[in-house]
Amino acid sequence: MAECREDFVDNEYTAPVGRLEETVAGIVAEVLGVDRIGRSDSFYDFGGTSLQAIRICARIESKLGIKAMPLWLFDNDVLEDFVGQLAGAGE
Amino acid sequence: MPVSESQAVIHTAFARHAAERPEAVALTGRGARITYGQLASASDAYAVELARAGIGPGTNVPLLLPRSARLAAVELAVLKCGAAYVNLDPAWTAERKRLIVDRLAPKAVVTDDASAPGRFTALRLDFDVAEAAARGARFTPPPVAEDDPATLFFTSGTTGGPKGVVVPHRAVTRMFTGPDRLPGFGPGHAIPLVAGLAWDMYAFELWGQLVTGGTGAFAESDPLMPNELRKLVSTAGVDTLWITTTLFNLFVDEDVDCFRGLGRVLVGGEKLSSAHTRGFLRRHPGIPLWNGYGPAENCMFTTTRRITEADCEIPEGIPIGTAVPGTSVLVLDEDDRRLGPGRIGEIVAAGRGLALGYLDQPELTREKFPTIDVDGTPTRVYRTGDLGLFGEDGALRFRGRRDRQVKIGGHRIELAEVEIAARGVAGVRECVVIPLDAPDGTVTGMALFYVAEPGTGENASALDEADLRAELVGQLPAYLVPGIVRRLDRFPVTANGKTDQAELRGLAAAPRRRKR
Repeated sequence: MAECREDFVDNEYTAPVGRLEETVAGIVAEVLGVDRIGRSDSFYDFGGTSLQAIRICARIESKLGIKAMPLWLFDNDVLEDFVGQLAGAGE
Repeated sequence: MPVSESQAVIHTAFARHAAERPEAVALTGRGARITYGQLASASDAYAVELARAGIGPGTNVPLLLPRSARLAAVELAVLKCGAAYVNLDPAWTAERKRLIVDRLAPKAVVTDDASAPGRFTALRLDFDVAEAAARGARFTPPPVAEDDPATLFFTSGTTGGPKGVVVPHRAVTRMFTGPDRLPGFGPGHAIPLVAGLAWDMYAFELWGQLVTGGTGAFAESDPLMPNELRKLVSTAGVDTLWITTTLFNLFVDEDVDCFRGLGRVLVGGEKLSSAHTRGFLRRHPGIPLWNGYGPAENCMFTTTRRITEADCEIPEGIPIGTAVPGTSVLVLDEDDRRLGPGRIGEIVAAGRGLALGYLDQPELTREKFPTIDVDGTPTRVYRTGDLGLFGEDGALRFRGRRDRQVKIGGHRIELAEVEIAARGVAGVRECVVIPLDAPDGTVTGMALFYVAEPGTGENASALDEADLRAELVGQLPAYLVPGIVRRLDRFPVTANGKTDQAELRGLAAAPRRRKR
């Protein structure tokens, strides 16, 4: 049962841009158990744990075939930045 | 045979393989390919430098180096000097590193970071293994006995900071050398090197292969990821895997096929989940799955068990099995009397796996490692503080921590008993009960956290908190029903992959949502 994004963050929701960002936002939301994740939302806002980071990356790799390192979520905790790093790695 | 020739001494066992098969691959992965000959030669070069810095028998050498072939070679070099190595995990806080180095008061700390060791001397060994091997140095080790310290692991103490567990050579080598040794180690076998550097399972992975002639494989990712495992199986010949329960469960959830091609999987570090274990066995009936149990004080594993699907149906949990080679296990009552099958008592270990004790804590060492009378023979043992019982089949069953017995309102309560009841309720996948303390330290109640089975078909919704509570009220005396029952998507875990008790206590105290 997904919790409401607005219970965790105060800033306005900005929709993900592009197919990759949309897909990754969906995966992150699913693993963190929230209804949606915006492109300017931070992994930390939702109390993301290292285990959830591993789960997100495993799911990204199996769904999209892009190799992602769990540490990236802590270094680039904002969705837009994280997806930027993913896109760089996928090239 | 002189003592230094004993095959129970880590570097002596390694040296035999280096002499017999110098071209065999000792370490691979992440661009490295280091042969036994190179590793032997490199460790001689590092040992020359260590000896020059005053490292000799009886000293402890902290190593603050990243996971690498160089770290393995430096560890071998420390052992060749007759000293014990202490890995400091680079991921630790500066404060924890400083605390441990202070406790060791070493002659030198091996590190690339000159500011790291505080008031102690930094010894830089920043030439890599290939360069070290090329030096052609020769080092003649002093005699080392199998009872001499090889390494120290620091575990969290409840009081007085981390405890240093002093581990002798024989404890590390015992389960890899005899005729009944663990399968999956030796020539033709390879294991990923993924356990935390400061953990006893790091020694399991690395020395398990290097004292038997097998191969250790470095992974590109830390932690290991499912696709990385696939790659190591197909390119590095990995056939044996050790994995924590937490990561195992995650791999089974996300990508259960990633285990394909393995010859065996060992899981442990925490109680297994029957649902995940069943999921694995159904998908991979041909891959032996082993449960491993044991505290660092009886190095690496104390018991193991090859898990069957029938094990997954036992409501109290999957048995932890029978003693590993070189170890015996007893279940004792409060008066140190042996208990037979079916009776719960403290799990106590004896044999070659026992640590020498805790660094500079003789009283605690005497308390936890007493010599007791076992069938008329004085025997040195380690008291695990865990509760268990033997089944009629001879396999040990785990029943929680001894100190998980609490008293609430005059009732003596075994927290494990509540967990067993909750786990028996349909729809509960995993659960944990924690005691709730008042500020004065008295236990005032319990909180039950659980992860529900995903709902299917007509029962589309997962078991909710009120329903679970009602089930427990129907089954248990009122004093055993936890005051807080809360569903989680998954349990919070610590850096070592164990359930994070502190985080759970925080959740029990916090309002329902962790709003920031």
